[in-house]
Amino acid sequence: MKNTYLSILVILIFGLGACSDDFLDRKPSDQVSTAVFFTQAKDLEYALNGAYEALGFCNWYTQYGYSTTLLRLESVTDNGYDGHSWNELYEVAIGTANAYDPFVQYYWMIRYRGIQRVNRMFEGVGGIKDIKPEYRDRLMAEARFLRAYFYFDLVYLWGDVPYLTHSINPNDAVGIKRDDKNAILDSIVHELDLAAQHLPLSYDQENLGRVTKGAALAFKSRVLLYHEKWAEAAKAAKDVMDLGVYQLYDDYKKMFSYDGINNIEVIFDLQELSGQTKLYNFTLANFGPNSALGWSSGTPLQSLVDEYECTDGQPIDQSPLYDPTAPWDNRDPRLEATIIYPGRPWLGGSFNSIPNVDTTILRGGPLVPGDDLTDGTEAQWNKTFTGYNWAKYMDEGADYINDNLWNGSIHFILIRYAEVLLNYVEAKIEANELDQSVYDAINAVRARVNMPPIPTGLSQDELRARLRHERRVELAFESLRLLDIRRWRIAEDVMPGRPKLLRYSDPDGDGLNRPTDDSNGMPILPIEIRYFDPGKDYLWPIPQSEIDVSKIEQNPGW
Amino acid sequence: MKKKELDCRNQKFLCKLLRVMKLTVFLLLLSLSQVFAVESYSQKAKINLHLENARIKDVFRNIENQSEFYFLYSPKIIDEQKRVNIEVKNGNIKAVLAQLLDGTNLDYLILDRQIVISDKNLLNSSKPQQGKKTIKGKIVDDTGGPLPGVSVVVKGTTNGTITNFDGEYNLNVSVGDTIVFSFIGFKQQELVVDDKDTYDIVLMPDVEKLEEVVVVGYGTQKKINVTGAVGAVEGEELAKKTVSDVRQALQGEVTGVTIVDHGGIPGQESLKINIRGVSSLSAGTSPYVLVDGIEMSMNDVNPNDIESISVLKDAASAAIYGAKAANGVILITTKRGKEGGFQVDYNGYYGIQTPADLPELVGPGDYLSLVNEAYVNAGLERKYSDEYIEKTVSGVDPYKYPYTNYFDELFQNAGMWNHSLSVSGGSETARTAISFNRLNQDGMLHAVNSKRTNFRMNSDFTLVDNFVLHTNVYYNRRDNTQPNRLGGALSAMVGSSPASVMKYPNGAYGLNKDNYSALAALEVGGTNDQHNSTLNLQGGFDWNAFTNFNLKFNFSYKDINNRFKNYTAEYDFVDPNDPDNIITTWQPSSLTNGKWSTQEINSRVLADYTKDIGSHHIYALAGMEITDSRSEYIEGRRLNIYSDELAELNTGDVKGMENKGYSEGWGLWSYIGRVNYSYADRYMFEMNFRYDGSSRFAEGHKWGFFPSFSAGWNIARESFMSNVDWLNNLKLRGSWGQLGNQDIGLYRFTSTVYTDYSYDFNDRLVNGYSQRYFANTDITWETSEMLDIGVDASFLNNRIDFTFDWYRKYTKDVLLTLPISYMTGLEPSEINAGRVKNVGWEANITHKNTVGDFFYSIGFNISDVKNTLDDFAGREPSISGWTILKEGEPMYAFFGYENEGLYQSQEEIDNHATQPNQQDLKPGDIKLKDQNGDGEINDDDRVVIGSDIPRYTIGANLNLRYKGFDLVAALQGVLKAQNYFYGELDEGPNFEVFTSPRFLDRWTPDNRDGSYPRLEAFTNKNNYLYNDFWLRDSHYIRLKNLQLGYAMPASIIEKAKLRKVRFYVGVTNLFTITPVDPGIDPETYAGRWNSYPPIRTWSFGLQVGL
Repeated sequence: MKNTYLSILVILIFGLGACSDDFLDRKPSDQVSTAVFFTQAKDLEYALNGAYEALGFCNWYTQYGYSTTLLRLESVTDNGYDGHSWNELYEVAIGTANAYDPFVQYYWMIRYRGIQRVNRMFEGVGGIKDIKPEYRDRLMAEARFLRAYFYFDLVYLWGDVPYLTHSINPNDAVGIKRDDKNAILDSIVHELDLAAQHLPLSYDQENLGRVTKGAALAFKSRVLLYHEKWAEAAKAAKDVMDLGVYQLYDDYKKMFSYDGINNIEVIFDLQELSGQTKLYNFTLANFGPNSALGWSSGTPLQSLVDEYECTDGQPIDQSPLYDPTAPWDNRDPRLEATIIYPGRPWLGGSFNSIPNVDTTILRGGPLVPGDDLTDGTEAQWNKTFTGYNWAKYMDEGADYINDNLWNGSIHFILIRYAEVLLNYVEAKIEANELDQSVYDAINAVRARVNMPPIPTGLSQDELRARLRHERRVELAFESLRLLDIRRWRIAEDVMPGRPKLLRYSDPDGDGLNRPTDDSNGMPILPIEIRYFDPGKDYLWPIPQSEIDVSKIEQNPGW
Repeated sequence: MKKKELDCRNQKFLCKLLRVMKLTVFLLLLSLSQVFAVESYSQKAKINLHLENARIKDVFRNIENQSEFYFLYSPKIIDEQKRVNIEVKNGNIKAVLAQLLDGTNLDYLILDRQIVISDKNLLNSSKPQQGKKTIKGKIVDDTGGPLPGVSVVVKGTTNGTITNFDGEYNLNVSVGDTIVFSFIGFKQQELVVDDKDTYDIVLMPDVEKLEEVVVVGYGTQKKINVTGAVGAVEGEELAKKTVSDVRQALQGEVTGVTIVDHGGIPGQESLKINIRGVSSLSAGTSPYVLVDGIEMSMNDVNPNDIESISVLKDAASAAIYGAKAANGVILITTKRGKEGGFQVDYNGYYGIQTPADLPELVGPGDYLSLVNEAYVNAGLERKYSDEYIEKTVSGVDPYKYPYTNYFDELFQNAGMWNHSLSVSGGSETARTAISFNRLNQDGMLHAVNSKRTNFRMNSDFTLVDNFVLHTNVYYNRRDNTQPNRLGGALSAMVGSSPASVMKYPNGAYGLNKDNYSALAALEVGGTNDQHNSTLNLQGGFDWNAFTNFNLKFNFSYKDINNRFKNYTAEYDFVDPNDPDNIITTWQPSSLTNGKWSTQEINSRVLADYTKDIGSHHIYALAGMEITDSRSEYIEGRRLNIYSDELAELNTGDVKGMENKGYSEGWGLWSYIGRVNYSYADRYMFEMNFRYDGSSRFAEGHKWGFFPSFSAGWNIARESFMSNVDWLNNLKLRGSWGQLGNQDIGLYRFTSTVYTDYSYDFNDRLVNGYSQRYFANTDITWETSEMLDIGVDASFLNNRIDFTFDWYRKYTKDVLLTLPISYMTGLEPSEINAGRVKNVGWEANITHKNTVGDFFYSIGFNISDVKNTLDDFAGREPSISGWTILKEGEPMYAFFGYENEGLYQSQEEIDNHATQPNQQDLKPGDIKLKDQNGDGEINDDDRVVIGSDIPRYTIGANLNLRYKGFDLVAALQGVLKAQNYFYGELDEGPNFEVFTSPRFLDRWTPDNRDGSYPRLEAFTNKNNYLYNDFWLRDSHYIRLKNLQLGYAMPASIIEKAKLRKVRFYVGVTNLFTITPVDPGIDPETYAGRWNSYPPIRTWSFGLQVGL
């Protein structure tokens, strides 16, 4: 017993006298201390991969998947509409939003997040000793491109923003000033030039999907168009065309399916992997028709449908091929590739959103139930609001039949060659250099879908109209429309008013409905009026939560 | 390199702990062998002797050598040299001794392993004489009421009994024995047995209540001397509630303790406990719960094991727990064995559970008409024809014209069994209490079940007079199983149109508008299994080392293993008319299998010193405590499991398999101290402190000091009060102290790179790393400073007890996650900023009395706390949905528009300020108030419209006893409360979901004072903006528990050698008085309905004691 007493006393004394600091010194065992990060080559590589991860984003608050979120931008343009009033961006689209919109806030946040991931690479790269200089330069060039990509989003959405090329502390952000957007654009162009120097033309299979030299030049042409530096924009686009790496992919429809992944036209895309929890993309669940269990959270508007020419190359109000009661026949093939309309083949039958439809409009077989508000199937608010659903990226085979509704993985294309051609065309037109290369480029895009070439000898204004039409139909639902209607300053013309929807009527009085052009026809659903204030709505508001902490100046009108 | 060093240091500490652990395990094993050996060794031991002409001394030595017996005798009495012949094979010691001592004047006495040999006459006088004489009697209190449960013991022996329910006892004694009668709350009495056989005793109440003690931090204190605010509950009171969870039993029992029972499926009950308000925003707000000094989860404690619960409410009583005490401390003490014969107790009940409250559904005719009205109001065609409605109402074809009340269909009565068995008792040197509990509770939904198995053994060994060794073994296991898609099923119950089919005759499930089936979710959606086990081993000692000086040591090892296996099944939903046509599928199947395990070691040394000098009483306590906790998490996941029967990770797809894991740990190193001083039991002072070092903070911020002071004045003991007879006790108390809260993430001060930003290139995943949080290296504890003033009073022979407390609690350096600029690219971590204020009062009054055979006690308590976010660190109000954090308002106050009733005309709409969606407004819509008068309703017009913090929490308890009958009842309620309900139950026919009768009182041109806005299909634009129209007065009073018991008279059960037989029936949640519409439970939920309803359990129980 004596010994026990003794040992207790020893413990007491030991305890009282021991240095407890060691005992209380605990660190996470599955995270790397920032103090020792950026010492090995792989640190730089992993940090860069982390910056790539910031390209797409997943806002779990409203459950939009990784790339899907970017596609929501289409619903704040004249191309699309999301009637779910509880969804973020709904009020942005109708012009009644305030500085609290969660999407606007999240987009701002995620872009600066990517920028700072790159900035920390620049701050850390000096500490990495065991790395081959060429490899290091390539990684940093990729990082430079990503930072430029993120900043361009900020500039076209918010205008002047703080241009940070180094990491900051929360205190540094207080009272921060916004930099002139033109200076930022100049810097972005410069950065892309620097990046292009060290980027390869292509990668091996393991690295496919990384930023290439072509991506830097192609993106530069997009930035310079926005910057209205026409000659330089044309040159950047021409540089891509001269690389000889990219071509137009022969199947426009297939380009946005699993078969089209990494095709010859893709310059830069979001690489996605099926079944990977972090990179889930819910494209079909979000935008797909209700018949495929989609939520129709964003559907094409009639004005986009009307934009597609007839196969003779004439607009619908001029073409003899156009029949208002069978309006989707004889149209530019890109219509069918982009938009699901009544009668279009879908899920082994025909899609339909018109109540009591006259089945003679069917082209794809028996009616697929689920998309007509009155067809007796439930889930009303997941049915299309406009009469149409998006078709691009909706892979009914792979994603619906195989139930990948929640983890689809079609890569979302961020830059493709057709855009570069159209960038070239636009830059040349705006520079008033209306030479044959302009016609060649735009006609190449049309020829790929068997559309006739545009007439020759057009004026600058006529060509501009042709180009803008071509961009709209070629690039619909690729989240570039918002950029275009802003830089062309046509949003104030195309956005206001009650958007046009699919209308139907009963021409024969037999109780069966057909689509109609007549404004007395029935709309699918009532729809809200959109407002657009040119003094305000060309820019998004700086998120209120950012203003609260950094006191940054708000955009005019917000 | 650095990492390695760290390991060594840890190992050194670990080794130290391991050594202590080994010692504990040894002591534990020793104790086990002791307990089982106490009664049986003399019967068990077998003796073999073959000795001829041996000296008696050698015979004794031989026995000592082959057994554990040892002999005590005086050589003066025994002739050691006497030669004997003895032949024994496998003999009993008694037989051996009888043979050995045959023909001598010697006799023996076996005391465990000790054999005393002595003179026959000498021994007989000290040997218990069985059956010499039986005395009996009845024990009553000063009013003549019988006192059951009084301990009647022959002084200095273990020979004793307790009185039955009629206060009667029987005891075998010898003349000259001293009998001791004792009962808590009464003065002890002794008498010497003479030639009488009947001894009736009147026990006088212990007016001074000097003996009543309460458990306080690291010790006990006489209740009369407590200067802090401590609420105490006897375990016996809790065991009378047939609920599966101690937290439910505690509800309404202690003032200042707000327990909100959010219901929950068996095994996963969700109860929120707050002591004296909510004082933190991002750190934990739950009290620190200790079971026998070790942190434990309260819901796994067997209510029958509980001796007492103490709630340390103010800073003075809780400060000794320092950094963990900011939210109050709950001390649970479990029963220990007492000296005396072994007692066996069984308590078991069978319960039938039914939902106490379910939402009420309108009839089919009303529902379908309401939907039609909503359609028409939206400018659409009616959905249902008159013929359809008629056929639905008539129920002619339930598949073609269905009408389903999902609640009625899916909720079913469920059974539960609860068995508790305990054995306790022991000798002067070894005492134990062993208990076993098994609970098997089915859920009221398909395939929900929870089982609890609980074992506890508390043992004490008096090794020598001044040294008591104690060991505790505790094991608890919970096995829960539930449908994987249970949450989906609950949502679908309210989210499905009643005009839908649940299941067709051919087995096809009916689907709702979201293509979901609540029934399928329960039946074929897969299963979640959860197995949680906790093992706690404790060993230690109390050593009265010197006069007035005690040294206490306790070591505890806790091992928690929580495993889960979540299986999501795949299923194809087919068209009921065309089973080959798959409408929708649940795919792919997946299995997530994981484990969380924690090993926690706690070691504690305490020294205390007591000294009385005249009327001065001094008590001092000092000690230290170390807690080391290490946890590990591991999880695997695979898709496309081979089959439902073979749901294991190994049967899933190899492709896309995932796993993750990490480990973490924390340490707490503490020094504690307490000094009590009192003068003549009239003036009392107490000081406590704790000095805590925590691993959760950075260097330089690890250590915190938490002091407290309190004082009491016992006025009733002043000489000038000696004439006041009706007043038994009057004590004023005051205290001040500081408490800490360290309940935040483990490593918030470190700046680290996270590994979870992977990307992929060409279908090949690559590692992506990034810093995630901006690290706040200055982070430190929250400090709560509390002032408490209280009064305790007892009147009329202690028949009325009254306690009142007022307190004010400021929580400073509140841990807040204040947003930082998004431009940093990082997420914020907590910083210490802001202050929360809680001011409250609580009162408790109890009245006990006995009139003849009738005993009753009535208790009532009420408490209120006002919560204010006092200082929000200069931050703009933070709005999240319909709640706001704003300086000067309660935390998470409801925030939104104020309504001004419903619009009655288009003219009124046109003249009112423009509302959002103005063009869609129609008469019957909610009119919102233009707070700033700018003619436009926008975000700026939102104001604080209420708070969900309950005010005026009350509890009432009633105990009645008449002869063998007893009745207990417990009411609990909140007198002022608000709740924000939204979602399906407010949407009803507008979205074709579950519709309560409330919608019948909607606004229509003919019903202009309707309590619900006009209907409109597919809209949530106008009326569902967050506004106080949807805020509901949800105060309530609920009969939480009612139990009626009958104990059989002692005269009958004695014949069966039973001590106690009691039958009881009980019911929980029998009724609720509330203004909220029927079926919407005011306590269980807020917001969207997706909860498991409160349970009404009818129970039938039996208690047997022998």
